[in-house]
Amino acid sequence: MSDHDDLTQVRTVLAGAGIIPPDRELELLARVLPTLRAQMDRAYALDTGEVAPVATFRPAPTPEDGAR
Amino acid sequence: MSSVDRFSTITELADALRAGTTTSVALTEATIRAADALDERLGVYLARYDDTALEAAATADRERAAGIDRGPLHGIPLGVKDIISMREGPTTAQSLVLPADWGGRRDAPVVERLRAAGAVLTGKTSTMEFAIGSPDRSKPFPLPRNPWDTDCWTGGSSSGTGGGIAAGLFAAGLGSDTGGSIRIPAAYCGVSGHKQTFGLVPKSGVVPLGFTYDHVGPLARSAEDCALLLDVLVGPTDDDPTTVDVGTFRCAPTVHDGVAGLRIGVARAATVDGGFCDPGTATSLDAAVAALAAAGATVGDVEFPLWDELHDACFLGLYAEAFAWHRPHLARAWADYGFDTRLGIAQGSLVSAGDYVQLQRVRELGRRAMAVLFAEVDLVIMPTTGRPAPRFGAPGMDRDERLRSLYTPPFNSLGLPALSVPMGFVDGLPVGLQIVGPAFADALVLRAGAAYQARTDWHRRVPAIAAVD
Repeated sequence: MSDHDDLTQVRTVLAGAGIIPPDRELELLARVLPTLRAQMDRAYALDTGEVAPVATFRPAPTPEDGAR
Repeated sequence: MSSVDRFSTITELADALRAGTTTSVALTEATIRAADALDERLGVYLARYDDTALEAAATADRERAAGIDRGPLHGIPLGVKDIISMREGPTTAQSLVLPADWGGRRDAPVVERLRAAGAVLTGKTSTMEFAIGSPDRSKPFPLPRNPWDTDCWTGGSSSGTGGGIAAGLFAAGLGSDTGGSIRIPAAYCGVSGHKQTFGLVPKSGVVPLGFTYDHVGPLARSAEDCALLLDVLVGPTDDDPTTVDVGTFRCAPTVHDGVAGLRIGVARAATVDGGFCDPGTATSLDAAVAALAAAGATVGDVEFPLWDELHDACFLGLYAEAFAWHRPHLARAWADYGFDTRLGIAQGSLVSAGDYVQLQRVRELGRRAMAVLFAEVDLVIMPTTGRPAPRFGAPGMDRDERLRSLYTPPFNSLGLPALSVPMGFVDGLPVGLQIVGPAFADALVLRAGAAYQARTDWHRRVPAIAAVD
């Protein structure tokens, strides 16, 4: 992806969240994107096979439920 | 203060209190005088609670006189990082963004437990904004300065707790650690800090950063003191579903059992040889290896599995989790966040849902690989950071280099117990030794730290600026 594409992606993602940073800060975030993507590529390159993620959902009620 | 002073360990202070050679009020008054003299220069406190601390100290002295002994923390002055809720005042997370009533001015469970143990809570200590930013002169908060060199940072984000212990403003305190925020200031300030196994200590009443990476734990002068605090903090709560009940859990009783016969692996290739380590830090590590070997451990290099991937899994995962919490606040108050804070957290928006799940699979893969490594060795050691505390305003390393010189994040991805103890000085600044163990082997990790500190005196060094009173 080009620098322009990175900037467009960052701007679009944040705008979708209702966040409108100044252009200078969007450019700084866009500069991080290639590194971030390379790090994720490294994560996907691992043989994770059938490994399930560590995060788990617990269906049982909790004491906090009553406080909501 | 008779036989003890502001730089004594909790054990020494507790012995003096029990022997009647000092009082909690005398200890607390000394810390207040030190804060009067030093805090403006060091930026340790966001809020001081001198009056309630003196009341708690007087109560501790009365109880002791009446034969009530609440344990080693009874009457000991402690600081609390200002992302942890306390009844005395608001929690700010060192930010203009957090609602003023966050936490409802109720004690977090960890604070309740310290109070029940008789601790004297002296105030709320400085942090990095939301425990993720960096020193920021543009916001109306103190700049945490390193007592060893006030032109240098304390490290973060448990900045005030680390700096305050080094300067003798309290004996120990609470920090939090999502990527190294207990261990990094411990290393940079020359004190000890323990990130316990994930799930041992409740995080409710603590401003979250990365829900599955956050840990709340102790910083103190010694590994033994960390054990004393951890023993009080451990235990599940109903309102933190990540906590686990491990039954009776005590680290202090075995902390002096030594390391004879233990197998200790050195993660040298992943850290010292990784390109981001100062030669002085490497030399200090060699001396630490020799000290542990002299104490009877078998020490040799090991290959650490998935180091880079687990490093990435920490930062990318915590950014994503932080973004989930901060998104509405970023949308309404972007400019009220510090520059580095908002750009750091906004990176979480760039981690897709699929990416996040893959990071959690990497963590599971790492957990399995560590089980194999811990079949070969009992503990793993390495420097806590490759370099000592950075100088304010110095030409910076680039972002990736700066993060890679931190050897703490993989253990947030893995949730493993990790202790930092002082292991020497580089250019006049402290550096730390990190000791890591299997899940729930916190007692073993702290035991190794105490064995190392029995053979070294780095944790006894006091910065020149602290010598007041």
